[in-house]
Parts: sequence; C-alpha cells; structure tokens
Amino acid sequence: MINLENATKRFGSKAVVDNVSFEIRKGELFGLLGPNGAGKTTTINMIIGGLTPESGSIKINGESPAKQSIKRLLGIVPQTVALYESLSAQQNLIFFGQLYGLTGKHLNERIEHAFEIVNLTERRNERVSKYSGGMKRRLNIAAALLHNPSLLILDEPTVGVDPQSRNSIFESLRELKKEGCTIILTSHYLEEAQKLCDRVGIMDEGKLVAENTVEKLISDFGGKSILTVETSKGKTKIETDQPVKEIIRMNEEDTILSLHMESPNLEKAFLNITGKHLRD
Amino acid sequence: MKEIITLTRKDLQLLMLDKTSLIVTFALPIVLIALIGSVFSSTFSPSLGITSYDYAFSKVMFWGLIGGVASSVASIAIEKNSGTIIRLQVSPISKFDVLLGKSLACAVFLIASSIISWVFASVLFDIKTKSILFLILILISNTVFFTGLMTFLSSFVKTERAAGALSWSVLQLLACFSGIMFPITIMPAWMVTMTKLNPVMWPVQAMEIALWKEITFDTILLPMGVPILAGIIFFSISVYLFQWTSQK
Repeated sequence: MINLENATKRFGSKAVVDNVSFEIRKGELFGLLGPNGAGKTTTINMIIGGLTPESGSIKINGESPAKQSIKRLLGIVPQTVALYESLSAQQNLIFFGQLYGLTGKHLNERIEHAFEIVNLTERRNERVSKYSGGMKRRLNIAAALLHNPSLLILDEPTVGVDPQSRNSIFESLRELKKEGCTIILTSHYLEEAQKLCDRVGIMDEGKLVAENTVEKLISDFGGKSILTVETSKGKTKIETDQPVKEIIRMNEEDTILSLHMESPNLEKAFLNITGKHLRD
Repeated sequence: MKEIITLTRKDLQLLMLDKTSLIVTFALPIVLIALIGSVFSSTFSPSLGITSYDYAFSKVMFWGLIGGVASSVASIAIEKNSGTIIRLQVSPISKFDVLLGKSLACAVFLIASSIISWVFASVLFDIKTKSILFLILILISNTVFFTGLMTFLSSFVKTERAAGALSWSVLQLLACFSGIMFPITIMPAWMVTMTKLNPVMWPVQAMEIALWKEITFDTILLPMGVPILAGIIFFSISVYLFQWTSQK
C-alpha cells in the first residue's frame, strides 16, 4: 500500500528525514515511533503529499501521494486539534464531508457512523470550544473518517488525552482495523504502540533505526526478563531468558515469599536501539 | 466548484460568528459616516456640489473594507495555526482552490460591507450616486483589489496576533497615502508623489467618480483597471507563496 524508498527531506542544511525506506501493507497498523525531532511528522507530511521529498520516492498504491485520486484515500488526524472551534461538532463534520464531495443522505450516514465510532453522538450539536481536550481529540479522528479512507494517518492522537478517552480512541482504531483500514500511528507512548501495532518503525535523528513486528523487536532488543525474588535468604534480582524455569528452580531451592517479574517490552527495546528513553 | 463554495460558505460562517469582524466591517463605517458627516456638515458650502455625508461616505466606506481585509487575514492565520489548513491541503482540492474559496468569502464580506454602508448613507443622508451601474462595477473592482491584497498579506502571517499587527499597519499606511485619511488637496508635494505610487489611490478615485464626478469611459478606465490588475497580481503571488511556504 505505502512504499518509501530512500526518502530524504532537508530543512536548510539539516536532513530532517534521512534516507528512510519502509513498506506498509494493506490492513496493517503501523507505528512510527521516535523522540521529539526524530522526523516522524515530516515523514507523515511527505506520505500525505504535504511535503515533497528532495530525493527518494514515496508511493501509495504505486502512485504519488500528491495525486487527487490518492488524496481521496487518505484520512489525516494531525497532531494539533484541526477543527473549527466556533462551529459545532456537527457543522465541522458536514464541512469536512462536503470537501470530499459527500452530500445528502450519504453524508448524514457517514457523519452518524463517525460520531458512533468516537462515541460523541450525544454531544454533536455543541460548539467544539465547549468540548474537553479528550473529546476534541476524538472529534479530530471523526473528521478524518467521513470519506471512509482506506489509509488513516494519526500523528500523536493521544497527546494530552485522559485515560478514558485514550481507551476510547484505542477501541476506535481497533474497530477501523477490523473494517480493513490501513493505519499509521505516530506516538510517544510505547505502551500503546505495543498494544495496538502490528509493526513499528523506530526513527531517531531523521533515520529509521529499526523496523519490524512488535514481537520481533522485543525478542531481539527487549533484553531479558528481570525477576525480583524474595526468599528466606533475602531479595535477589535475576536477569533471565527463561523466567518460568528460573522461578521453578528457585522455588525448589527455597520457598519464594514474594516475586516480581519485569518482562521485556517495547520501551526496553527502544532504549537498547536508540540509547535513549522516548521522552528524552 | 462545489468544494470551493463549501469552503467559502464555511469561511463566511466563521466571519459572521466573529463579533469583532462584524463591528469593524459593518458597524464602524456606518458610525463614521454619521459622525464625520455631521461634524463637518457646516464646512461644506452648497457651491461645492456635495455634502459632508457624500464626502464622508466616499472615504469612510474604505474603513469597512480595511476591517474586512484584516478580519479575513486573521481568519487565515487562525486556520494555519490551528492545523485545519493541513486538512484542507490533504483534501482532494488544490491549493489554488483553497485560496480561491477563502478569497470568495472575503469578497462577499467586502461587497456586503460596501452595500450596507451605501444603503445606510443613501437612505439616511441622501448621498449622491451619479451612476448605480458604475457604482456596482467599481465596488466589484475595489473588491477584487482588496481581496487580492488580503491573500497577499495572509501569505506572511502565521498567528492571529501577527495578522492583526501586519494587516492594520500596512492598511493604515496605505490609507494614509491614498486620500482615505487626509484629502489629497491638503497633502504636501512629497506626499502626493507617494499617493501616486499607491494602488489604493485608484479605488478611492473610482468611488468619487461613481458618486459625484463626471463619468466617461476614459475617466473610469484607470481607476477600475488598476485595482483589478493589482488584485489579480496579488492573488497570483499569493498562490505561488502558498505553494512555496507549504514545503517549508
């Protein structure tokens, strides 16, 4: 569906995206992760056709993203809440739907569906300025869904969102994935990427430093499980590849009084790959 | 075309919801016509052939246009700042269409301001109108000019605050050297020279012609032609700048 080949974008002399290549298959939920300034948003802007790569190429279904026919396939949820605050939620969705040529009954049905997905049907007639931050984020997603895009791009959709709204957004994304939508998600939150994404790409200083399935990245770079075991002899911390075996062995030696296990995760994999925490 | 009209309608809706825009575009010229017209009513002798209200309307209606331009520049700055411009750029309409839609909204706003203040001045103060047809044509040419200027100014602003500062300072400066703020007849020579270089002078002259001067094809050609040409040039530069800055 999407193919980036050695895509490079410079701002002045600085390569903000440097020779990035990856592929996203149809129906996949792909996470693009990286610290601030890693080049994620610039990569997204090139994928949506807002920026042109200086070298390399970006193709969606084999075509340039700047083509009008390709633009109709895209739904974008920008990092900022891209809505008209003085209009109601319904007026916002009518406008964005009409921009994609939707009218009449079909437009009303799509608006209804979008409100249902983001769980805002009851508040549809309120002005966006009266919405909470989480509700605005959800409406931001709804505005991208009206024309039934086959590729949905979400740039940090859960920044500043309360846990309840975040879960609601996750549910919406799972629902869309079930419907066959290809999704690209950039996020600061590795935990949510681990839960949601089929594959992730990790960017750092404009380069794609790793790209694989979440499981593979964790198994390759997530390190070992860390067991903190308390027995009559005291507390011990053990790093192991086979935590279950280790627990059985220790329990045979001495009765385990308490046990805490830290499994390898995407956060550890990220730290091992980039040498920094995501919020650095 | 349908998408452009959608965009225009939405922009008009936003402008109509903004009380400050409504005040500076519609209420300000009406108040100023009444105020300036009444203050100077005794200084306009019948031999001049025009009343203080005729004169006040021909100048003050431009403050409505200036207010409308400033409001539209601010609305584009808000759009850039809030990120909605990204949605417009990603949608299947071209950058040219986006600017055209916004320009049409501004044009409708400006035409409405001119018509409302003209109706007000005609009904209440019985101002002279030499030719309604030429007045309509001149309102259109003035609108083309000010709309083009609006798109040009909006190319340089990213925030609402910058929009307010830039548009009001540029427009006031242009008003200063055009006959809107001070009559050209009382200006020193250097100021008259500056006025001749200012494209805003032509719409001001055009209004005087449509309202109370002798109208011939020759007298109207430049005052109508220059603003239309300048408006189109401003708009074309803005389209180029819009495409260029979106790559930055």
